[in-house]
Amino acid sequence: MRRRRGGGTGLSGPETVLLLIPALLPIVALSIVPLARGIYLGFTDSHAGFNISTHFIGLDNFRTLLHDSLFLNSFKIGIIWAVSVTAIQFVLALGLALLLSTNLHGRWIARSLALVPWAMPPVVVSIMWKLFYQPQAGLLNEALRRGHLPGQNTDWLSNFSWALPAVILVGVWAGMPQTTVALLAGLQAIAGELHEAAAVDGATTWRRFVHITLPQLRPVILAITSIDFIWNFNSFGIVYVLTQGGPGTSTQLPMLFAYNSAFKYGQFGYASALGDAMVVVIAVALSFYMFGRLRETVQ
Amino acid sequence: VITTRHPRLLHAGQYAALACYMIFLAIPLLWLLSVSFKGPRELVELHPSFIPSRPTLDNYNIALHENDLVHAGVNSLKVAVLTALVTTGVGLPAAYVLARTRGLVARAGLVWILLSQMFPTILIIIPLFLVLRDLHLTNSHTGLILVYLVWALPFILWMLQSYIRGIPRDLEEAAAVDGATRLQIVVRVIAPLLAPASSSRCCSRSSPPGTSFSSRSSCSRARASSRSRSSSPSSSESKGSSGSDRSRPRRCSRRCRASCSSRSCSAG
Repeated sequence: MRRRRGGGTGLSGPETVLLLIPALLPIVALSIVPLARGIYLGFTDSHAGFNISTHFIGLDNFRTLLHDSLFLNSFKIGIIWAVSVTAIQFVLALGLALLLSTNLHGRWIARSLALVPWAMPPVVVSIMWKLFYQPQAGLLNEALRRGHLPGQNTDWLSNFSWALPAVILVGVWAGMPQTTVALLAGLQAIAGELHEAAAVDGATTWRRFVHITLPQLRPVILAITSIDFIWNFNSFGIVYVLTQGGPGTSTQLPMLFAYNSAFKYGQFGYASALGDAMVVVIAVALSFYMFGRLRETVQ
Repeated sequence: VITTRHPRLLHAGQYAALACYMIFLAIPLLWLLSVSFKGPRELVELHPSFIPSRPTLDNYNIALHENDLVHAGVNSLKVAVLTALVTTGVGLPAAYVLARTRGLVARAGLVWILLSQMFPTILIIIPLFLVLRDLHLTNSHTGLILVYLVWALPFILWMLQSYIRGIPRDLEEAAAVDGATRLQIVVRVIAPLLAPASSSRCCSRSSPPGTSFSSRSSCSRARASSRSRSSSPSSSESKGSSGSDRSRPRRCSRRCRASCSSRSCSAG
């Protein structure tokens, strides 16, 4: 029964098909087909409403997009949001994962706490932070008042310069669990012998972190930051509940813009074109990940 | 393992950092809890306090009775449980294929899992709505479960296939020798082995070490298999180290790793 090669398959063709069918049916019917239709909608003038015929209009939507200053602005904000949330999340999560992998007392409390945001729907997270940021009765301003610090009367979510940073902080908080868990799993997979050997050779904690932990974690870091970036770029719920894109358009992420186009103004075609444009941005992020994976396999 | 020139200083720093993390993670939650016990008058006061001055249960009363939270909760529970069951049932055979083959199908499946994460919701939500409307499934639990199924499948497939990779093939081969068909192997061998892994994945991470051995060991098994690809010289010597002071889960992971690597040696 031994296979000739390590990667050889023991499955026959009909068996494979039989095992795949239960998952394949819903995937094709409810994921691939709608997705293809959604991508196609971006090339049409589809509108909400009865008895309106849809026409194929080629790249017209994309031409309009390129001259739509609101769209360009939302894309810029989307990039700022996704990059900062992903970067801050990564640094904080790495620190937390490193702490959790040591044998400190009470780390199980932090472990449980770090998982709580995972169990909370984005809407609840946003309502909670809205209470926190509230100008009069919120905890943040009260803490600033007690500490006699500046900014005690700021309405964080309605302030043009503070709304985006405030929203980014919420994004970081909500995304901590999956990043921490992924990095923690990666840390625990590093063989202890490597650290022991380096310690015997007299390497300091910092040098061991740079020369053992980081290189060993590289695949996990690459995977989780790419996926985080994609999730953050596509995120909608948190910002929609917190600010609805306001004040003005200072927190209007691409998804919010697309949502408004589709369900406020009924421009299904235009909104889908926007979705197509977002896919292109994400594909670039994903190609970084693929490129990194490729380099690893070559090495 | 950690040795440094200033162990006490490092320890103090670590505890301080851990405390900061706990504050960051817990403060919004505690504030939510605090506000939930405050009456409408106290909510608009200028100087709010962390501990409500006139705690009240009115808010919970309103949520439970006037807004019918119980009914909504039962709905959610029903949809969530059914989605979890259907997704695992549908995903397990496919995850098995993804984990145990290296052909075009498996590669296409893994690519799809990644791709499905990158499409923005807006692209799929409009056509999905049209499909469900054609099937007369909007505003029904079935429709919702179908949507969730599509949402959860990529993640479930990814998790399950990585766990299945950690299960030694010897078990399947033994079952095959006894005359089990492929479907029987998946249902009778793989599924029972995955039960603790899939049900207590989250618990095992949040519980103090040592409380749930089975899930820990299955986690470390998955980890061991991912490591066994890169041939580590340390794994061959681990067979003799069973008498050392290693803790139990650790020893199990090493044992599995040794068996995995010895298998790949004899196969190659």
